[in-house]
Amino acid sequence: MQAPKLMSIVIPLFNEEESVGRLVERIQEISPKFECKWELLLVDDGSTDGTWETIVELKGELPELRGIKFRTNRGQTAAMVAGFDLSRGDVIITLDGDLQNDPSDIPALLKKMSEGYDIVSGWRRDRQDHWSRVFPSRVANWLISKSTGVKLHDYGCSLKAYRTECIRSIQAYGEMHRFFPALASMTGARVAEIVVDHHPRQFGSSKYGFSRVLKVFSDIFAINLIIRFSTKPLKGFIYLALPFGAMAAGFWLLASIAWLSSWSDGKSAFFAVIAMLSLFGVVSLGALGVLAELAVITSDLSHTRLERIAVRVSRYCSRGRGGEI
Amino acid sequence: MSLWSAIVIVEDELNDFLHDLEVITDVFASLKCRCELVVVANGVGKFVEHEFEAVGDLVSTVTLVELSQKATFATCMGAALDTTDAQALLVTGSYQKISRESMLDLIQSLDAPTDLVVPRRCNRVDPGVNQLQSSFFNTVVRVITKTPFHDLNCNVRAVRRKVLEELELYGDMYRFLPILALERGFRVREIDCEHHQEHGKVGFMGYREYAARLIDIALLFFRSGHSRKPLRFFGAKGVLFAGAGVFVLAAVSFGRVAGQTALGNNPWVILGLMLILLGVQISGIGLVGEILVFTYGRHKKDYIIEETLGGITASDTVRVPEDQTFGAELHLP
Repeated sequence: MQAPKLMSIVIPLFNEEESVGRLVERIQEISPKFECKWELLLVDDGSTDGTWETIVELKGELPELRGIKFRTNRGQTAAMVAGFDLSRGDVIITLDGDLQNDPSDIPALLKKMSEGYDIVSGWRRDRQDHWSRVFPSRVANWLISKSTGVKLHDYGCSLKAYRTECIRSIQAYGEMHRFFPALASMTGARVAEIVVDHHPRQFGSSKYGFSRVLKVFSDIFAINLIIRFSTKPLKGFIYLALPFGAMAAGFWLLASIAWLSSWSDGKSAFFAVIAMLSLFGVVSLGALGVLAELAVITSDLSHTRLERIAVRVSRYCSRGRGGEI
Repeated sequence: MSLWSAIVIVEDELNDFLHDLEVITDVFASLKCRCELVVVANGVGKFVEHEFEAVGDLVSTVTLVELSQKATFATCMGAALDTTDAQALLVTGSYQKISRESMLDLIQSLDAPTDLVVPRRCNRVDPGVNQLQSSFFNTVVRVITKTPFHDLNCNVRAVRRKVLEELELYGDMYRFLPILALERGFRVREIDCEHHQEHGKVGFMGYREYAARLIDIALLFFRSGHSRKPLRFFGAKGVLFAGAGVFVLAAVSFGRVAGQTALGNNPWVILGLMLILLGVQISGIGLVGEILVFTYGRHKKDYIIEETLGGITASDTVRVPEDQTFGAELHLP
């Protein structure tokens, strides 16, 4: 695969005025190793300190630098998406703005991408964070890998390389940035992982707390649902209704046996009530499934199709020589 | 002189209608601002036409937008916006709610960094029971939305066009325009204004009105934090209820094993099952919400750009050449 003509480095920043100058310096030091043209997009995600002012100052020293300032804090995913939307490169590199990711890993990401991958993710094998962040992160990584089938050691590492058209096709929102590789698998993207350096945080404090753990687990469930059932939601709801269906059948049977065998007063009616409640569960989950299916049917179904460029068709002639169509 | 548009949304047939229009044009004349008047007749087209015909010579040229049937304030706003190009707007209702001097202050407060100015009516002239209800409503909204506005019920606003264009108001959301604007990062100011007059119901507003306000508050609460990730909102509640149900059933089962309670005819079994069902239903609604957002809402941008550096424009995207494909290779025999 040919090297990119232009590489965009997208860095979301929130109250990182102390680290942004050093970060830009590091990127400038490493830039001779990029082997392609590059641009740097710094996205100020509604910072309340002097981050944007620092970016404006740095612009004077670095012509490759471009800046985006949000009106208000919208989160890391929104900042990355803005960078993806407004970048000009055919490859996009993302990394954190707190100097924990090392820009010197960028050439290694590009080298791996040249082997034919669409997304190359960094793996912080030697992570420099407190165990209270590392442990839930490891559990989340295992869960995401297991449930989505896209096996990565470190979904949370912001240092990643993307083919531009691949990442734009995802149309991310909310806090999806952790799941880009898993979501990209829906479009047929090829994902790889390489070990990258990780440094302890030098300035400021982490913007994440314990509440993020609960949110991430909720998002894992939602992402799984989207990946598995966004094109066939009725099936998902029917699977959810199956246990209630089994309960309804079981308790109807019990109620029938109780009535036929004249068990003690009220038992038959009691079992019938439980059976009806379970049946209510089946019917309402089924109705929700139909509603979800209706939502998919009435959409433009764009999310159900692989991107046209995601499929390359090869035809082999009778003598075994292949050629692309 | 900057061009303003005064949008007067008329919903009631009141005697002072023309006088109130004169006050508005007089205010802009004193500020030496050009102002075009847009009157939206919300279901009172005949009344407004009759008033204009009776006067003969209007104070200034007026654009009349007639809606054949009563619509929401947001709909009226949208209809008015289509008829004017003004970038700054003064929006008022059927009658003059704030004094002339306060209106002057309101307009002048829409200075360079401010995008929306809302009044807080002082020295109120409406009955005490109305003031109490208004105060209670505004307090509840402030607590739920964590915003600082004290008088959302006053429909007079001075606003920049871009705020209305970006916010896509619908239903009864005009009342909450300051909150929605603040959420989107617009700069909103609240200034004290002299209450001039008040028409409308006194005391009990009607059950429908109270129910509508309650629903609006619930909608605001949901919109402000959960409209992009509904599963987090519903899922948390669903897990709570289902968890409670599992706990009840576990306790009953334990009692059965210990020989203390019977399972048959035990109402706790039904309660436990109903709680689990409720939890699953609520979570299911969250799942449907998640699918709806993913299917229809992905293209909506979560970010609002205030400033760019380095020549970034909206058309700054790259077209990847067709030979740079990605994805699975499909080999046909």
